[in-house]
Amino acid sequence: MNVKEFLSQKKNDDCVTVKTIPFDSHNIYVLYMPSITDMTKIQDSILAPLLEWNNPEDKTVDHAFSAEPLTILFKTKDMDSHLLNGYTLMLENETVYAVETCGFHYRAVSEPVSEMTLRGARDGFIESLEENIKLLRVHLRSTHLKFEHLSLGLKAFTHVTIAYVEDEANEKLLEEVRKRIKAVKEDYLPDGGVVEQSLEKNTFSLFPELQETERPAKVANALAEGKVAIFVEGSPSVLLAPVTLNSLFQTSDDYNFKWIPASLIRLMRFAAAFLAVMLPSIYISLISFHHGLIPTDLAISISKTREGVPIPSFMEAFIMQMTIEILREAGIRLPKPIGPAVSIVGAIVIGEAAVTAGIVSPLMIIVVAFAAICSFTIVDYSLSLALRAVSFVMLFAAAMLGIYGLILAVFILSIHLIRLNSFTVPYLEPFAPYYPSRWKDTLIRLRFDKEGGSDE
Amino acid sequence: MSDLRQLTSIQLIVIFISAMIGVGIILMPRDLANAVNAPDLWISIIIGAFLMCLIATLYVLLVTRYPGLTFFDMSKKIAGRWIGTLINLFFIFYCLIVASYILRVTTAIIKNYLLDTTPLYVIIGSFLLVSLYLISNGPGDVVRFFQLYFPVMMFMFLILALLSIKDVDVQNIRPVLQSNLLTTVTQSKITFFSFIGIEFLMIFSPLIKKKKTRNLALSVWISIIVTAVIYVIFHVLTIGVLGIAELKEITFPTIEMAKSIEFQGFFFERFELIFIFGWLITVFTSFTTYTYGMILGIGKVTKPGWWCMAGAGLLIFIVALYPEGLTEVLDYSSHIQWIGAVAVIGFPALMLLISLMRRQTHDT
Repeated sequence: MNVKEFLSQKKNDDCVTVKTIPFDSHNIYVLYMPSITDMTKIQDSILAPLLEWNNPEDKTVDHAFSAEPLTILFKTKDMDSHLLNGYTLMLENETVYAVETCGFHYRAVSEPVSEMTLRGARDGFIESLEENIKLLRVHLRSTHLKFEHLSLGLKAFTHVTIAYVEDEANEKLLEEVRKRIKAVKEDYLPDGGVVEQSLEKNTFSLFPELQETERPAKVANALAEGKVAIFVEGSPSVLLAPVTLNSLFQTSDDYNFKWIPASLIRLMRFAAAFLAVMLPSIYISLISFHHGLIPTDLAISISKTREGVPIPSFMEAFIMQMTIEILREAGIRLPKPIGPAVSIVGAIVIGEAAVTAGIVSPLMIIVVAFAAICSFTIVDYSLSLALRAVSFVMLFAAAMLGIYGLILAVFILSIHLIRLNSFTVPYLEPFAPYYPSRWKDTLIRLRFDKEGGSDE
Repeated sequence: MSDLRQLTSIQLIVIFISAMIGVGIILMPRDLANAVNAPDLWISIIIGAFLMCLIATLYVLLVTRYPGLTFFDMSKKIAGRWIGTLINLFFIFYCLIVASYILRVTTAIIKNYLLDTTPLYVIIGSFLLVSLYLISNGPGDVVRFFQLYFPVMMFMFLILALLSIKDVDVQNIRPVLQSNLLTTVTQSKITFFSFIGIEFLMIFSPLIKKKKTRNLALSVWISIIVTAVIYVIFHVLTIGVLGIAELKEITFPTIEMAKSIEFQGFFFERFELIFIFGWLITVFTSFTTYTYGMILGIGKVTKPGWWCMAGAGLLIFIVALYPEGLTEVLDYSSHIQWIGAVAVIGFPALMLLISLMRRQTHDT
């Protein structure tokens, strides 16, 4: 399809405005989509210069624009995608120029709601790719920061940008990311989460292969460590690859506070994640299989609280876990003013009524509720989802074979994690296989090295 | 398949320690107490470890003479196709017997302490399936699993050792070196069974291509010494807590030792759970090593494939279920010692001898 056909096609398209401007001996056609372009920008920087340009020796569009970057397009596919991105096209004879006149409306930069920090940068990504790259540049001012622009989707364009720091990012990793992005064969990729799933290889695993974040500071840190970030147009979540289990437990607060308290808190977070997964199942395996392993005084008080409870402890735990999951889901879906109401109803229904009615034992509520609170400390939401599912598996394992079943289930889980790779990086690195040089930022975070200044 | 092509010294040490410590840490105290009958029975372990270091040197020499080859390839190359295959079949049999023995003792302990009414085949089957799942993706995963759990295991043992020091009665440990030295030396053969696992140097050898003899020998010796130290610590603690007379009567002395730990004002009082967890890891790792060896061997003798795993799993399952009770299982242990001696000392020594006589080496 040549330029003339393209022009006649667009003249019949109601969404595209075509303006004809006589320019010396020939006409220049200006094409744009009025709904997504900035009208004043078109007026000031395209129409005005074109109409006022009267240098007799130099009669091309190229010279009429001094500051605006002009792109020359050759493919019809590119012309379409530029129009859809809010560019204005100028057709002069057989040449097509594009000028950025984007007029999309975006929300302002605000703090991301799903990732809270106590200290550090509060800005969050928005839905604009350009703005997101600017935000990243704020936090990482380096000439080594490189971007690669790619386009995804067969029927609708989704612009994707890979960002990395040259010399830090592994070439093998970059190649893998490029390969996977080019291999995506979806018609329509509406959001970051869909892109994430179309890039993943471990489709049957519960665990995420890419880390999602809305914080530019976090992306900047990850890039400086040699990771690769994938920006998706129209999505505030930026994907980081590769991800390891260890990296999913790190928060920026770990680095912003002094290393001893930060390490203690990180250790506590690991312990909390362990409890969130294991506590209900350990509890039911103890009370239904191994009474002998419970300290005697505790065993007596447990049996007192379980008096009159009609359902077996496994069902009791399962029902309570399910209730908490339902409450959690309800809390997310409800509009903000009603959200707290659900938690009040939930607390009363579960906390008081169920015990008074003798359906569940109070100790079970303590165990399950504590496990739920523990699960709130998990930083990454994808990981939290995975671990919630795992906790049900553990519950079944404990119901079948007690502590022995639990240990075997933990073995199976660790074998699964050992097999997982995220963009060719082992998921449990640096624990298995060992990378001792990276142990200083795992279960605890050691202090930063420093030199200079006077000694105390 | 996994990406592990070259094992570091630390990885090797982790593999060997994980493979060696198994049921021995639970059964050896009683056997030694019956054989030596003196509080300084741990000296036998040190002698045993020293002898094992010498035997392990055989493997190091073999592996460096034939870099990149497993035991099963070496035997064919050295002794010819037919005799080699016979040696391999015997080694597979040895792996089968040891794996089944480990599995059966483990199940007995689990049945005794955790699940007294669960059928035996459920406990055996589930353990076996998890192990096969680990092996199914190749040796790289096995190595990574060992690495992941090695610190956990060591941590558990450390905690247990620290907790039980309080209960040690020094009178139980004394006197040292007052017993018949000859018995102490000769009975060190009992400890041999607790040090097997080091022969897997010859199974994991394709992963250790470019190692110098000296470094390899050093990592092997370090593994044996660390294992011996762990054994000695636990034997001294068990004797110290339980006393030699009681030790002879109890089937699982180390667990009983852990059980006797008590702390006033401390909420949790069942410390054997910590021990069983730590110990289950080590048993799982050594069981997996033998099962892996067996599967690899079947693959080398016939053709590698999924059915090697299925066949090995089925065989181990049947053999592990064969004995009637634990007493019968423990009776077999002396026979297993002989099979082990042939497979672990006899064959490698013979192979090295032939290889030296024929001045044969192997280039990769």
